[in-house]
Amino acid sequence: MNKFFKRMVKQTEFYVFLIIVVLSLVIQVRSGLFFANNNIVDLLRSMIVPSMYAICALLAFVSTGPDVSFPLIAALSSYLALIVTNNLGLEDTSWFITFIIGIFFGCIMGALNGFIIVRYNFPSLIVTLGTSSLFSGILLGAFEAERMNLPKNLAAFGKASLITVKNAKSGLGSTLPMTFLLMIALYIIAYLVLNKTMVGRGVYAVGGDEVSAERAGFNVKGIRFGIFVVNGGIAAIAGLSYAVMSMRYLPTEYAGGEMIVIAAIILGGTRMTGGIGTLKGCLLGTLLLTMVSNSLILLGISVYWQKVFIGAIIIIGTAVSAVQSHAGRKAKTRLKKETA
Amino acid sequence: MKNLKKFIAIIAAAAMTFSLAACSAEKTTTSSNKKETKESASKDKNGDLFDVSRYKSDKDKSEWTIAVVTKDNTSNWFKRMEVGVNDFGKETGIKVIQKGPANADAASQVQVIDDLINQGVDALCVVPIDPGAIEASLKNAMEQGIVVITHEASNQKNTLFDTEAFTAKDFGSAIMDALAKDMGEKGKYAMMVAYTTSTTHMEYANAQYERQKEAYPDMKLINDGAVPSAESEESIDTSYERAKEILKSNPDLKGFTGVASTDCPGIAKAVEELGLDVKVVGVGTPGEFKPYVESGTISTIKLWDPKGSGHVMCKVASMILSGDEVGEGTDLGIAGYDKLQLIEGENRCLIGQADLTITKDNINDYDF
Repeated sequence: MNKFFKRMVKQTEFYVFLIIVVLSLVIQVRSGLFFANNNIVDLLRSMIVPSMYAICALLAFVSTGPDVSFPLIAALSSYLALIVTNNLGLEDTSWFITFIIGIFFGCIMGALNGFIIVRYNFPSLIVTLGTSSLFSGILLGAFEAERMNLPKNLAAFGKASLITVKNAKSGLGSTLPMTFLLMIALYIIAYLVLNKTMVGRGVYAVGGDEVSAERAGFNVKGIRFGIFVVNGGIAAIAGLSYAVMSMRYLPTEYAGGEMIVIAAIILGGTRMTGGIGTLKGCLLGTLLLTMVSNSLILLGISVYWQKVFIGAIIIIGTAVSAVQSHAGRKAKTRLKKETA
Repeated sequence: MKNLKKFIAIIAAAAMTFSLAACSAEKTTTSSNKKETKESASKDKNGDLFDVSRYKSDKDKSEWTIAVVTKDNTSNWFKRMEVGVNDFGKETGIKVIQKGPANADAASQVQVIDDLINQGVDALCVVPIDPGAIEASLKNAMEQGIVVITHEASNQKNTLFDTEAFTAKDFGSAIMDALAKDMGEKGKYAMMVAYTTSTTHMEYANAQYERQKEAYPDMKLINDGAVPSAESEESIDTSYERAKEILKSNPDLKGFTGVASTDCPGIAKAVEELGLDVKVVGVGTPGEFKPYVESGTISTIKLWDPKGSGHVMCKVASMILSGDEVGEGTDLGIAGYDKLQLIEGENRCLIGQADLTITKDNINDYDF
């Protein structure tokens, strides 16, 4: 028990968790609404898309480096999926088909990232920045994408709810969309692959030390390429989920989502230098930032101070993680084994 | 053979020297050109940038290009504006282009403006996302003799004329009057804007609050009158989440206003989902708000026709290019803009009387 506790105290996730607990208590005391069932459901709903993005960001950081193209991949692949669904008359099929189409396009875009990064050994930040603006140009310039309604199959999927709660006191309800299940499924798959398969361990190995990984027999280029392809697929799922949840396709609302997600996973203990980062941390970091940005009105903080607050949380959280990083430098190798 | 090689080498060397010489010659000419333009620019700086007569164009009408820069070209609002802009193009035969930033943020808009300046357009009509952020670009444009007209930016300094469909104060008051009527002049209300840096949105919001304090004492703005109550960041989903939060912390809310086109759909979605009786009044296009107007959640739409605004900006720009006088009382020949009002504050503002009120009863008369 003591050993377990000692180990826990060494992890960044633990401190993020502490911040979350303290913050939620503060919000509860100030507003009396935080632990209401409808508020919790709202919070989970808001977390769905950012936490899907967080997997993309995590995989990229752990194996290669930053990937900032996922919001635009999400936007473009969802657009293509909707267009294909509409034009091939697939509105009456299952929502699953549209998602598969989206994932297909997402993977292609991810493969483009992966190809350039792996083949020419360019820094991933620059490449993904470039492809982001490329995709954005294609979406808004070449296709002239506009806001549009969803095809019937997705609209039906969006209307279906997983859980509906009603707050007995205020009479306000809230529903959790089905996309929540997609997010859970993604996390379970990612967990199993990262921790229980050789390829998954390879992802960490490649990011930790490329040369050692190669000598240990991992296919460094293959793994990195694969990561970006998978990222494209996940981004597509996130993009379609966003459309499903707002019941409309909104092409301009995707861009710019990457920064808060990256902040969230760094908060959650992912190292920018690669090789270290956990799914648990991703979820906690995303939860913290979603909680902060969704509770400031409950706290009655004025619009002008809200941004100051969010900025402060990011800096404090990252500082905790940085201090941890200094302390944990000696134990780096051990930590690496314990990741995820 | 050896000789041939030598010969070729000499020829090549000669060619290189010549080309070098040519290069350097070219360089000197360009640099002297630059000097000239610099001189003329500095001369311009001494003159009055805001002197409208400076911008009269010597070119023929058919060679003019008027560029309209929007906040976000994909939204129905700016698509409707494009209709007006194209109408103007067809009517006059002047080349018009409408462009928007890829992302609805100020930095991307700056880029669009700078690109257009480099393309050498004759007039720039801009609907700024953040007036402060584009100030330098617009100044640069004016220094190069480009006519700059803005819309929805009454505090933009570097513009020849800002054009508005009405004064922000009148419009804000009109929104409040509509809300008060719909919610029975009693109860708590909240207001949303896109960004607190959006000048006109803030002016509407402040005018609403002023009007309420003055005329409707039984109404109360939440958070002790903090204006605005929330920011939607030009996103329907954010608007929905913020509205939900506000409704959670103020379950007795009776009214909600939203002044960006993304605000009301989000607010209405939240209100309907929570099953509350909240009247939503706001700015947006009838096409997009129709389902909510028909269900009664959005009780009144207040707006102006972006088609008219686009037309007006181009028209004013073309009048300046051709050296015509624009000012108090000018008739642009566009409905609602037949007797312009000129207000000189931080800039010169041309104002029409072109506000529209749309409710369930007349929503089918508007096709955008």
